Amino acid sequence: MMNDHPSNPDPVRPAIQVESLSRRFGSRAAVNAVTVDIASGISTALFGPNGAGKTTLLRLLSSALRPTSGQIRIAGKSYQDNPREIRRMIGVISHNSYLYDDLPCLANLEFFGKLYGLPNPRQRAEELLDEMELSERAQDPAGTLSRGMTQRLSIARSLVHDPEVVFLDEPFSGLDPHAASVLRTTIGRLRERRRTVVMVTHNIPLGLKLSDRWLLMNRGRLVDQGGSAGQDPERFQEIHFRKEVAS
Amino acid sequence: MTGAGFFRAAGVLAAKDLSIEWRTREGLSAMVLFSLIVLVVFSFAFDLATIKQLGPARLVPGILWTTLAFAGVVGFTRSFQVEARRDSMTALLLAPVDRGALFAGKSLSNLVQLLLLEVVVVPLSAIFFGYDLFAILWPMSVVVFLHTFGLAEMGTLLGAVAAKVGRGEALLSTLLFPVTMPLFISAVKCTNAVLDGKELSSVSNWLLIAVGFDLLFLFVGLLTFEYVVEE
Repeated sequence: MMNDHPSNPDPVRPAIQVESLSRRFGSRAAVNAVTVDIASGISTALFGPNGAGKTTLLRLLSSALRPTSGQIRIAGKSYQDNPREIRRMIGVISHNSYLYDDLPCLANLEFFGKLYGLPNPRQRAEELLDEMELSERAQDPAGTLSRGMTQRLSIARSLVHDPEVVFLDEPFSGLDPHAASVLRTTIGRLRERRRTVVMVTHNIPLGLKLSDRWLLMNRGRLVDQGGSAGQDPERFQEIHFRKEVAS
Repeated sequence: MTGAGFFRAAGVLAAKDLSIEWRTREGLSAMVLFSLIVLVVFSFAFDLATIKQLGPARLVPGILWTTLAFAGVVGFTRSFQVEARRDSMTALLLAPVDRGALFAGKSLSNLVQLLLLEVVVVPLSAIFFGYDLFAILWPMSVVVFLHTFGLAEMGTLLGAVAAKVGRGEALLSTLLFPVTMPLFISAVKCTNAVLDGKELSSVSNWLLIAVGFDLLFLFVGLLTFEYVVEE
């Protein structure tokens, strides 16, 4: 299934194009006229205070939520025209595991593999369990796993179809050191393989370390953006806080 | 490769739901227990003399379909509780499958569970209310299947609505029973005819109504499930 991907993502065409994207809940605009391009094959950290609209933006990008207005294009294709093709290209890691507690770990991954139409879902499920160091728990129900193990299985679920674009929503929250280490390694592998990664996080040092670029949101708007290389996390946090207070 | 096809996706989802039910037996055991209690209560409410005097054709249809309707609500609610526990409905919506296939898969697993329930409940009603099920097995099976099909479809669609707004059985019952009333009236009329020993052709109009509602509920479900489950 790895052969389905282009060996080198197109460096010119943005993986994600967002234009005047808004989502309102009643009178409140959770995301307000956001326009941004995210280049193919880079990792982007999305920062902002609570209620800034980061998770809503991520849910809009992943098609879990419909926009009130605006356009989203993934690899040049819009959700309106090619919903299934785009969903095949994206994976989502959330603080919700999206797993079935009563199904064994292997059956969980196999189910999602079948749903994505993989030719050999069982083999792929076994590979991912091995990668996430969960092979010994393959036949145990997902509900019996610890929080860290559940998150590792959830990562495996999101990568079962080897997506080109991966969205992560606060992936490190509540993880034990081992699970956090596995997740860092996974994100590192995704970056090595030039997958496009968009990660919402409150952990500024880790977010800057694991990204090539950062975006800053506040009150539903994209207020700043830049490159992550050479950023001092403490100084960044000062600026980040100042913007939050000022806006 | 853009994900599983319509029928394959529906089958995969139904197999997953049935696999969870097989492992936990939470939904089906609750439905069977509920049905058993209702049948026992009704069998005590009507003593044997009354049952013989009125005949099973007067009593059984109403009791049987009331039991199945309320037991169905338990199953439909459980069907979406499984998805709500870890927000796995979102993962289903993120998958490259038609939303109609998700409806079809959920409906199919609910239909199979209702049919399994009926395999227990219908013979029990024959024992409690003294009628010869084997003599009417074929027409009874046709009537039960046709009406259960529609019930499973609308129960699945409205179960999704109730789950979406965070309400359980109370909202589902409020929505389901008025919408499916014509189906239940047809079910009672057809079951009554079968228990009276009449040919199915004598209730062909009611059977056509049942088939019509089955198709209507199927198309409504396939076309609207997307708007019910998406935010």
